[in-house]
Amino acid sequence: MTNINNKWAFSEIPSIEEANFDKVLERFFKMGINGLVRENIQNSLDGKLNSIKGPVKVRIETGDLERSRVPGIEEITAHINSLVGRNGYTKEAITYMQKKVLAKNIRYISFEDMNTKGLAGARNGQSNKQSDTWSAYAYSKGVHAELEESEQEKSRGGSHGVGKIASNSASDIHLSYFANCDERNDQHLGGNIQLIEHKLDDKFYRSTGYFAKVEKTSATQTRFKPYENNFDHVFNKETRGLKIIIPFLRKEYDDEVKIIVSVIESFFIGIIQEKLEVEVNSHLINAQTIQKFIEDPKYFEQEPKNIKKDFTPLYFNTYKSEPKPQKLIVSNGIKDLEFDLYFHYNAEITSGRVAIVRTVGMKIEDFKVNNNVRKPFNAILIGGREEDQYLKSLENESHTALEVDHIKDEKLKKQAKKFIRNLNKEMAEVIAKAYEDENPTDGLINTENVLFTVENRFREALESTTGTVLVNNGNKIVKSPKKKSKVKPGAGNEQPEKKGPTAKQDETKGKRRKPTKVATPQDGAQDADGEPTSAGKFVLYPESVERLILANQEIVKFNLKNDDQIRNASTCNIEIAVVDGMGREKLNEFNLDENYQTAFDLATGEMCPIENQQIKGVTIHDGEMDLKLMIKDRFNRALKFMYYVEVMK
Amino acid sequence: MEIKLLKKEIDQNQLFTDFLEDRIEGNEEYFSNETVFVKELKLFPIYIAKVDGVEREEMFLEAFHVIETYYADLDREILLNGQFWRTLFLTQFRDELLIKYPQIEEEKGFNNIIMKKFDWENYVYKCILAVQYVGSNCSSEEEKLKRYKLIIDNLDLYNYIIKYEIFRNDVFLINVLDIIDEMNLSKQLKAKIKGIEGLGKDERYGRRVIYEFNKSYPIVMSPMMSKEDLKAQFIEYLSIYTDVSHLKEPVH
Repeated sequence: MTNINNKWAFSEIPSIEEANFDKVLERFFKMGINGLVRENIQNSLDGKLNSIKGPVKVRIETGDLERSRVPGIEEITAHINSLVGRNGYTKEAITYMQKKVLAKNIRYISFEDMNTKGLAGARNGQSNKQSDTWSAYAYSKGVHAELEESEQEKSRGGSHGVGKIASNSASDIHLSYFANCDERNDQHLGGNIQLIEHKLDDKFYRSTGYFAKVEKTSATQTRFKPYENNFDHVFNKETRGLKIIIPFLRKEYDDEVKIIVSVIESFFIGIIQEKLEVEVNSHLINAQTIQKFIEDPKYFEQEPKNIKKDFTPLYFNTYKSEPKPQKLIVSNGIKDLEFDLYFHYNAEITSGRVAIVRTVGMKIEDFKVNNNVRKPFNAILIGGREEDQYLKSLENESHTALEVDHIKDEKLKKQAKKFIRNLNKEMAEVIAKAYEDENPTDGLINTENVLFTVENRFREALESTTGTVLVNNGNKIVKSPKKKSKVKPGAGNEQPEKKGPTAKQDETKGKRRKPTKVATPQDGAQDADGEPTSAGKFVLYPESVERLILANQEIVKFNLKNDDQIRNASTCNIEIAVVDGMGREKLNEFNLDENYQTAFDLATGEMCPIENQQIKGVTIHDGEMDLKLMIKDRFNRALKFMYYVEVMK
Repeated sequence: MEIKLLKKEIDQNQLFTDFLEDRIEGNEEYFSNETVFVKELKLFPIYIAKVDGVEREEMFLEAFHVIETYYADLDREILLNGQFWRTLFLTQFRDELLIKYPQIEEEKGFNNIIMKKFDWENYVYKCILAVQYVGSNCSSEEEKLKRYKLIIDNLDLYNYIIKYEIFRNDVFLINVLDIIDEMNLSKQLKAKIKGIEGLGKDERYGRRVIYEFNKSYPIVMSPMMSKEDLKAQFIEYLSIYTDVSHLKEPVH
């Protein structure tokens, strides 16, 4: 049962089950102006009156409105005030709506179309007749009424039937009206509001409310009937067609520039081809004026190299400068689909995109060709009716991308995947060919050997940097050096890490690498006058150092022959860093005093003092140093070291 | 039940506010398409700092028990996925957690308890590894409980072991726990090191022994050593820092 005394009809339900707002609202809200403009203009294009030659005209108007002029506003307010949120998210939305619905002066946007059919059969109200498009549009969700001419049905835009809700999501209180004027000049006003299930005066109501009368058709059944339109002029539609009115327009949507950009971005082909003309407040956008908008930096970025998001100026240029399209045939495995391709190559373009456009002139997607998103090209792809129908089955709900995930039928899904793959392939070929034409090669070069060397080196590097560790139950873990850096240095004793030699510095086996300089003279020791006494500090690679550990002593031999700076010096100081189990170097972890009793320079037989974590004054002979270190009890013989050499002047 | 995982990239500041205001669940912006199926959910102590003695032991044992019963069957990929646990905390256990850990109403507490990085310092991570390593390597419930208690009693050392990925190995952990138990080393290993220069501020014998293992090449061998070999090595490394003459004969 529905309360029949009111302007608004909410169906009664036995209890509240669903506590959330319709999810589609949020999805469209995220798409913002773009979603709103696309849905409404697309509907207008679909409703084109075939008997008229001229373009479909859409007038978009934004303006001020007094709250009291909104039909049935007090009833809506009562319903909104009765809403109760069951979770934080809806609570917030409800508080917002309750505040907004009381505003005295509000903004609205309207979309009025001309040279269109408008909806049919409004005077029948809620009806099951297929040709009564009013009923499907006004009183059901997720349905789109089929046009009787099937040719037009194939090329029309929407098909998921959720687009109407785009208008609701643009309103602070999810409210929208539609005024219709049909063939017989019947003028009606309908509307709907998307709330959540709620309780008002001890009755439970469904979330959607309709601006309609309720008429009893039998003892148990009722049906909705629309009001004849005697409302405020904002809500009037006096010529054939449909007008959508959205009061309580959200602030985010109230932006003339963005509306104009949105119209052009989605419908430039339709406008250029004189299928569509749009007036946004006082700005007329048609085939003659569109260029002026596209070339105006107020609306669009003009520099090709800076165009990374809105490609409209590039598309416009492509369409204008390539008057004759080439044919592109893309197969889905079953059937060849034939498209018109407008292709333009321009070295200044940094992001290459293909506009996929429906016959009605609406762009669906800035298609990215796999591996070609940064190629200097721009293209437009338009199909015929059959192609349109196929593309439509691939579009996502908001008509902004070709996708396969929503296709339930496995066979069709497979075909769709194949189609998208082929589209990528065919486009990549066109791009490659254009690239070749623009950049002819000088000749051929045999790269067989180069590739072999690179591959081989990679294999060797991989072998030497990864090791396999066997853990429990014979499971294997491959240790890769990259992972090490992920582990946080521990708390407490550990010193900041020093960067050790990297695999990049690795060279062919057997060859000694040059020591790497890690500090300049200024960083090192100084004499009494403050002059640096050091000529720099170097890290030695393991192959330059040989160690031999005996019962109570360690012999270390350093080979510095392949570095001039060290080889020609006379003395140096040595520092020792420990490499831990994760391959990290710890400079102060190994305490020389605690581990070594004394150090002897084997070349001179002299003792070298151990001070400040350095073994001092080791002499260099013919690029070699030899040390004998007497070890203490606590010395851990399994340690791995990195040696640093500070060369003295 | 099917749990929808949170997205990886999330605005942390917004998350905290939305958590307090209960605006995460139902807000699609937060969720990815990844889902995990869990038979049944149960909350366990997820933060066990600043409690001592019996209370601490009880909390840990409860955590071990719940993880074992409710979550241990999950794939390792999920079990060790911090995002999975954060999702549970933020969406499934929100109300309970706010009661149990009132400090999460402050951003600092929230970050430290709910959003804590999922590594060896995270209590959930610690508990999962304990369950995985000990749970699958005990022949009886008594033995398991004994080892769980050893972990709780030697937490500092346990942390130090799981901190290094080379020691994240069940056999190594169990051998070390058993050595500590057999030789009654718990107290000694926890003690601060005195009289050795050049070490960090808060150095303890246990940590140093593990670090000696960490430094000693070839490192990967330690998890593969038999308990007796490991024990000998353990004593040798301990001897670097303290007199071990009384340990040569195991204490019973």
